[in-house]
Amino acid sequence: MTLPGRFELPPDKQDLHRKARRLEWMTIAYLVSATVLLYLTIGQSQAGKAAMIEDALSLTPPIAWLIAARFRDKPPDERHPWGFHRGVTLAYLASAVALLLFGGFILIESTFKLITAEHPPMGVISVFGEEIWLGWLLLPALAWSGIPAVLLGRAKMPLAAELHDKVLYADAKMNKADWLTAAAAAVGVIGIGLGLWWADAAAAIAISLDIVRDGWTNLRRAGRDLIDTRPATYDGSAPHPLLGKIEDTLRELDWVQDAQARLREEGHVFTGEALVVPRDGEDLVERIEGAARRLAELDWRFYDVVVVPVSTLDKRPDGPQPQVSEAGRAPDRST
Amino acid sequence: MRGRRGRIGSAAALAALVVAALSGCQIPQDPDGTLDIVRDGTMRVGVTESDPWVDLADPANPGGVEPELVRRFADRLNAEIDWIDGSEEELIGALKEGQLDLVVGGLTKKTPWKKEASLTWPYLKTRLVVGAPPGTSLPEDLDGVPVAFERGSEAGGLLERKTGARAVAVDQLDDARGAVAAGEWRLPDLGLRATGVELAEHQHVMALPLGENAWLVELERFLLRRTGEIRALLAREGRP
Repeated sequence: MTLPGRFELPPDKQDLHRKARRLEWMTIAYLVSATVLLYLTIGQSQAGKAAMIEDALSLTPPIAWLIAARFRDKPPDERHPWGFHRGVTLAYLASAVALLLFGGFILIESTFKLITAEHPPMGVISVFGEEIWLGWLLLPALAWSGIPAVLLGRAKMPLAAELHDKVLYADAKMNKADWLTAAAAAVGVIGIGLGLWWADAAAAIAISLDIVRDGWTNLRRAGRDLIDTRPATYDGSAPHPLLGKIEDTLRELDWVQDAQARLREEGHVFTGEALVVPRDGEDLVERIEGAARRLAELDWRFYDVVVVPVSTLDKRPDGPQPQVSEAGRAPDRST
Repeated sequence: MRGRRGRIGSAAALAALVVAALSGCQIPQDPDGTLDIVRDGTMRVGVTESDPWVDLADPANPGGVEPELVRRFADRLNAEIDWIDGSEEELIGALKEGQLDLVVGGLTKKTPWKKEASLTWPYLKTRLVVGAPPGTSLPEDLDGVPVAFERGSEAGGLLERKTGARAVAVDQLDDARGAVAAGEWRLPDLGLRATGVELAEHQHVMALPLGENAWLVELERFLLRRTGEIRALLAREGRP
């Protein structure tokens, strides 16, 4: 057995990965166009500004994802024995912090504008010799910022599930929610048009709350990755089912008396250790290598799981373990 | 959760659109109704001295490019003008508190008051340039060339910072001999030709109360269609 080299997705996942990459490039091109369009038309609308900042910040997950996709191809080397799977967490953390800070900034600014009853000015712009009220240009720009985003988000969501990709998931979720931002900003703009000066700041507050919430969710997720929380499903809603499967698979081997595994997520894949108590010492080296191969075949995500023989297993510090769990069910640690 | 909030959001947007369509009203509207009050009524205009834009030799009847434009605008709205003169800070303060409808005084897009007032889209761009008598040839960076500027104007500092010229303060540009830093519109009058050296660009605006958007749009539509007329006014009023 050797330490794993270059990581490659299984062939069917590679196709999905290529598709995801294409979608992420499309997302970047689209978001840049939406941001520029908003920049040209927001005038001094606070809600428009909030929508523009959200579009600009939505660029970070696809960029992080594409950078990570490039690094993932790089095999581990002497200085980076674990490879580069973790790189994406860094980018993810940075984007979460940016969302929180910008969202908080707009929230404070908009609240202040609402309290001081600042009336948003919005005049005309000269387009091809015609003077048009900016609001009439901002509304279609907002539609462009909202509708295609939802379609992109919908296209990415199933890929995120198949690839077990949390960054892609977070990205798809942000895109899908983008139309809400655009709708809120449109309400603000129409409010300005009707002479309801407070509508703009109120819409901006709603949008900034959404940005802050995105930032907070992403920050918690990045934090969980950084402290090696138990692997979860791609949307973070439940412990990953493979967790129980790994221990069950090892216990099913006739030479294994008991087994216990500890896994962490690194990007798409799981790494970690599995401790096994052999019934006897016969052919131990071959058996261990066979068990490691077996795990690798069990799922493409078990890319770097080390199997270690031990004489006994202690109870886990946090509960009545090791337990005999039902096949495929993860140990319940909610208590 | 999200779905429900989304439906509420879209319902609100739709409702707003329907309201707008049904009332058949003009969009945008003024929160405080300035345009409706001014039309066939009185326009309270703040003026502050800024040659050649506003000339307050006779404060009851201001001269200069901007008061002239304001008069033509008031004519269109069939409105009387109430001129109020003061410092920029006084006027902007009054504007903010709803005591004035318009402030003019050579304001540009870069005015520090841009957060306190609605500014019109720049209705005119002017340039501060270096002019020279026809037939003279000057080095491109004006190295060591004496260039006259009006004492106490920004041109002196700009000349020193942006070119190698030797800035010479004069009281009257007409008295200067050789190269001169002046507004582009003054060059023909001074008998000078542009050298291609530009010291600054000014984008001229007028200030209105924040958020009175129907009023803002009315004035902008008036100004943006009159660039040629405004340049002619400047050529006329720009003469000392």
